[in-house]
Amino acid sequence: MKNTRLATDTFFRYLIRFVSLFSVLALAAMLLFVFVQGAEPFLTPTSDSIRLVAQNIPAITVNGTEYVNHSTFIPVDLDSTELRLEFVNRGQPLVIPVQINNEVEKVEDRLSFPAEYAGATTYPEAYTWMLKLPGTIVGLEQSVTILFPEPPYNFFSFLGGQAWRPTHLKLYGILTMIVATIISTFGAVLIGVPLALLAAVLIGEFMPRRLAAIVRSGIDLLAGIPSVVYGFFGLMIIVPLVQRMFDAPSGSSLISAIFILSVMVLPTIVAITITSLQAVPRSWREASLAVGASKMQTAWRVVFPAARSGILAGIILGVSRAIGETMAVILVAGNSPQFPTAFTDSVRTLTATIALEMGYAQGRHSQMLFSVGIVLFIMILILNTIVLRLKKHLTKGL
Amino acid sequence: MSNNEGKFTVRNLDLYYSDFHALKGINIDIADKEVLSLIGPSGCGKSTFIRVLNRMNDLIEGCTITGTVLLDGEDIYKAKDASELRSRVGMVFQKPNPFPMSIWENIAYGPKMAGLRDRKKLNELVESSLHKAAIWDEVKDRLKKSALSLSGGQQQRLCIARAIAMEPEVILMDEPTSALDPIATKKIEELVETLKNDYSIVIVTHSMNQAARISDKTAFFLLGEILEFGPTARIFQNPERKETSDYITGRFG
Ligand SMILES: Nc1ncnc2c1ncn2[C@@H]1O[C@H](COP(=O)(O)OP(=O)(O)OP(=O)(O)O)[C@@H](O)[C@H]1O
Ligand SMILES: [Mg+2]
Repeated sequence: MKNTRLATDTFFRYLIRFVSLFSVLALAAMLLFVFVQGAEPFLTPTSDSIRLVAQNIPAITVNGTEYVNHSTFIPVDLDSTELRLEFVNRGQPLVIPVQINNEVEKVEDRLSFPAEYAGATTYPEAYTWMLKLPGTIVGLEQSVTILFPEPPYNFFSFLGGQAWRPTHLKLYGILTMIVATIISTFGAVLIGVPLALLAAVLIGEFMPRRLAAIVRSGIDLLAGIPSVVYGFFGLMIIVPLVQRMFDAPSGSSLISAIFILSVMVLPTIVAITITSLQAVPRSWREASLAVGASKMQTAWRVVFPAARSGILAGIILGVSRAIGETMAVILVAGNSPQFPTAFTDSVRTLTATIALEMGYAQGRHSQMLFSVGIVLFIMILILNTIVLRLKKHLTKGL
Repeated sequence: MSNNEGKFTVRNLDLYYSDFHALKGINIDIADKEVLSLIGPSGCGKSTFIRVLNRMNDLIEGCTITGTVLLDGEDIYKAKDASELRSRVGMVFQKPNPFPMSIWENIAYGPKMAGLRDRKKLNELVESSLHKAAIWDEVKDRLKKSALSLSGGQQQRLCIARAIAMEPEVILMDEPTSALDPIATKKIEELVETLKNDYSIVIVTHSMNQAARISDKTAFFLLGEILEFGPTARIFQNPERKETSDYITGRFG
């Protein structure tokens, strides 16, 4: 008897150790992956060679090496002074010598094409030259894209940059999105938190018990509704309403995002606040009523402050939801990465950017999305630290 | 029947918790500036009765009351709002229940809620209440500290001070010393002795000694009824009912 108990105890002890070790390792690996990905654009250039992409060219010879049906990057040594491209265009063999001058200060001037191709550069300031030639069939044009390695991205241009043009201009400024995220979250908190607290006090302190239980289960249900459903509701109801109310060209805007987020933070904050109000000992309520305070005074002056630590936890959860909410915001915010000058302006949040672009982002662009994730992570960390400080300060008397 | 016999006049009081008949035909007069102690075995309705006097039972769903309870000749159940009554009839609970606030805030809470804003007056009130509750010397240097940092006995005297700060006419105490050690108990008993000069006091107690020591009148409750009511000395020395003497001498209860 004693021995079997010992055996099961040991088994569970090892099981717990194994499971916790596994979860910690998995979490650490994930964080490490995200941080390595996210840090890379600021530490290393995009590659250590010049890279070529040939499109609709079955066979191309670059500096003497022939590539047939090559579908990935063609690497060229960084130290080369010339790029000699040989391929067949509309039945004619072509030889295009491109001079490389790495000493030149301005990126735009590092490559010089022969005169007849000189106009064929696309975004040289973004380290990209695209040479386009008409093909045999209209629309099936041939192109050679020459990609210079981009130097490590300036971290401050990332945080403080106002332009997010990842595909062509290789600009990765997220300030507009940080601002949009902060404003929409703050707006949601400003509207949602007071509403939630009022509702919680009403339900927890003033409703008859049975009615409160029914309302409570309704709120728990609301907390479990997938955010895409909220987003859909926002798209169908709030967006047209905003458009009509403000006579705006489009209702997809900052204010729609704020409205939908304030609705979404309600259930969490209300549910947690009610729970913490109910956890306040009955004796404090009785003590307050016994000195002649009204139920309202008791609720706000005694019960509410006594529950503040739990209420704060609820608010943190609500705010985190507002910051991290993606789907619903994508549906109602319009998603233009710009500084909002009015509440009816279209905005794009950090999370929306990640969700919208992760599907097609490549290389540095994709890594930048990880960096955006890290910024989000740090924002939430800062917020929680502030609230924790606040909590310590507020609960000193308890 | 005269309404002016005392502070409280209770006539034909019946109380039901849903369908449980907790108080049956209670009739009692509680005189001004006297200590009345309520004794009786557990579950006989002492707490229920004392909570009738400041309408604390209003909070309990399904609690119905019939009969009349007069305070200075006025029916306390007539008013819709019990705040006025409760500021005239203070209450001290079995377990000390200071608010999770500073000592000063605890005392000032009631008057503030009643609308007193003047800081100076509040300060005076806090000091005088703490004096009357015989705890001023122990807390005067830490008024801004949390009331929860006080000892159990100090907390209970703080609760008495909190009740006094409302300048009530009656103070109800439901087993105020049952959670305290003998020394703290003695302090509270002494306090009751002095308080009765200014207030009527109704105190529920399980200690026969305490009832005998501090009260002028005693009511013996049994199964929701007042079996015997009279001057404490007579009840203890010469009870009329056998149940009373059995209970007092510890043969049951
Ligand atoms: N909220 C309530 N709902 C239903 N029944 C209750 C409620 N409060 C008390 N009772 C019942 O009423 C009766 C009297 O209770 P009460 O608390 O008044 O007793 P008591 O004399 O104070 O006992 P004790 O000495 O143990 O404190 C008990 O039988 C109790 O179970
Ligand atoms: Mg009791």
